[in-house]
Amino acid sequence: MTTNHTQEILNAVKKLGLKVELGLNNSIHDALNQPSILKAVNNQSRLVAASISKLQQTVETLSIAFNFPTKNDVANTTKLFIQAEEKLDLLEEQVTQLNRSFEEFKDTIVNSPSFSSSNRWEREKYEYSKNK
Amino acid sequence: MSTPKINRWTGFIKTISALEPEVGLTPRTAIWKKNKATLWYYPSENKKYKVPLFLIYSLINQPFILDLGPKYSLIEAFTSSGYEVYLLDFGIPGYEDKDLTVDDYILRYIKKGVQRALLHSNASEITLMGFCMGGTFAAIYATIADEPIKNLIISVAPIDFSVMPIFSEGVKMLQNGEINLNPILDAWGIIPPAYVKRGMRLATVPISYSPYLSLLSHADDEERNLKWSRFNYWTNSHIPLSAAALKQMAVDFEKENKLINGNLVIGDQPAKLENITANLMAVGASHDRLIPIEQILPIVDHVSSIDKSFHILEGGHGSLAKEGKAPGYLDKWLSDRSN
Repeated sequence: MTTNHTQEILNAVKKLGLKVELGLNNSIHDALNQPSILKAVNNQSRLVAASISKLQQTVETLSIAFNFPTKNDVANTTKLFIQAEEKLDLLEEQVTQLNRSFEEFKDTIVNSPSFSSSNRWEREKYEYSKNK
Repeated sequence: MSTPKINRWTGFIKTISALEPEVGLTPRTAIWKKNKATLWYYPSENKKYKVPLFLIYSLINQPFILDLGPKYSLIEAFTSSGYEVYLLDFGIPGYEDKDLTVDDYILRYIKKGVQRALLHSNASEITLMGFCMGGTFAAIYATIADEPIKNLIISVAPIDFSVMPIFSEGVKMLQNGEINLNPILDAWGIIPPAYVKRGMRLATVPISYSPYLSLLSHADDEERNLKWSRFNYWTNSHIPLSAAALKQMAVDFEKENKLINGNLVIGDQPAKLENITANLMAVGASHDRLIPIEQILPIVDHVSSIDKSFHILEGGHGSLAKEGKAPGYLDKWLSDRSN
C-alpha cells in the first residue's frame, strides 16, 4: 500500500517536474531569441575571436624564437600521415581490384573450350588451388 | 520477468554515482580504418538477408547509442534478425581535422566505407541507414552515389531547414548576414566537446533535471537503472566538431537550404534529392524537440523513389530498440526489401 502510494507521489512529481522544466526552457528560448541579445552575442564572439587569433599568432612567433612546436605543427605533421594513409588505401583498393580481375580472368581461361582435356592436370591443379 | 527490487534511494545514489557503464557489447570486427574513422562489421549468426545494413551516425555524439547494451541495442536486434551490419564510426576528431568539410565526410569516408562494406560482404546491393545529421549525410550521399543503394532509411534527420523551431530570429539574422560566426569558428578550428554539448543543450533543454525525476521513479529496478545509466552516459558523450563542417552546414543548410532547393554541390557533383531512386523510409519522432517532423517530411516529395514511406515514432531521439527487437514498422519494411 505504502509502496504504491510512494510510486504515485513520485509519478506526480515527475509529471509536474516535466511541465515546469518545459515552461522554464521555453522561457529561456524566448528570452534569448531576441535580435538585441543575438547581436550582442555575435559582437562578443568577434572580440573573443580577435583575442584568440592574436594570442595564437603570438605563440606561433614565440615558437620560432624558443624552438618549440605548436599545435599547428603537430596538426600539419598528422595531416601528412593522413595523406600517406589515403595513398595506401588507394593502393590497397587497386590491388584488390587487380586480384578480382585476375581471378575472373583465370575462371574465363579455365572454362574456355581451348582449355581442353589435354590440360587436365592443369585444370585439376587450378581446382585444387581454388578449393584450398 | 521482473527484476528484483532494491531500496529506491540506494538505487538512485548508486546509479548517479556509478562509473562509466559498459556500452557497445555486440561482437564486432574492424574491417577498415582511416584517420580516426572505423568501419565496424557486426556478423549475424543466422544470416537471413542478402542486403547488408550500413549505419551512419551524427558528427556531434558517439554512435554507441545504436548498441547501448543487451536488449536495448538496435544493432543487436538487426544481427539477431539475420542482417549483416556495418557501422561507420567517424571517431573523435582532433585539431588536425579542423578542415574536414561535409564534402570530405561524404566522399572520403561514407562513399569509401560503403565501397569497403560491399567488397567485404560480397553483396550486390546495400541498405543505408542514417541517424540525425548522419541521416542527412546518408541522403546527400545517396544523391551522388554510384554504388548500388537498394534502401535508404533516414531517422530523425533534418532535410528542410526552412523550418526552424528554436532560435528562429537567430536563423533569420544568419540568413541576412547580420550574424557571422566564422571568425570565432576559425579561431577555434575545432569546437570542443563541452561547447558542442552546451550548444545542443541550449537548442533543446537548457535546464534538464527531468531525467533524474524519471530515475527516482524507477530507482528500485536495477535493470532500468542500468539502462538509464547507459543512456545518460551517451547524452553526455559529445565529441569535438570540425569548424569547417559546421561553417558549411550553417551556409549550405541553415542559410541557403540547398538540399531542398536543389543547388547543393558535393565535390563537383550536383546533389539533388530527385537523383534518389532507392526505396525510402523516413522516420520522425513525435516528441523530438531538436528535429521536428516538418524538417524531415519534405524529403518524401522531393525524391524520385517509387517506394517511399514516412513513419512517426512515439518518443524522442533515443527510442530505437526494445526487448532486443527492432521496431515493428522497420522490421517489416526492411525484411520485405532485403533479398
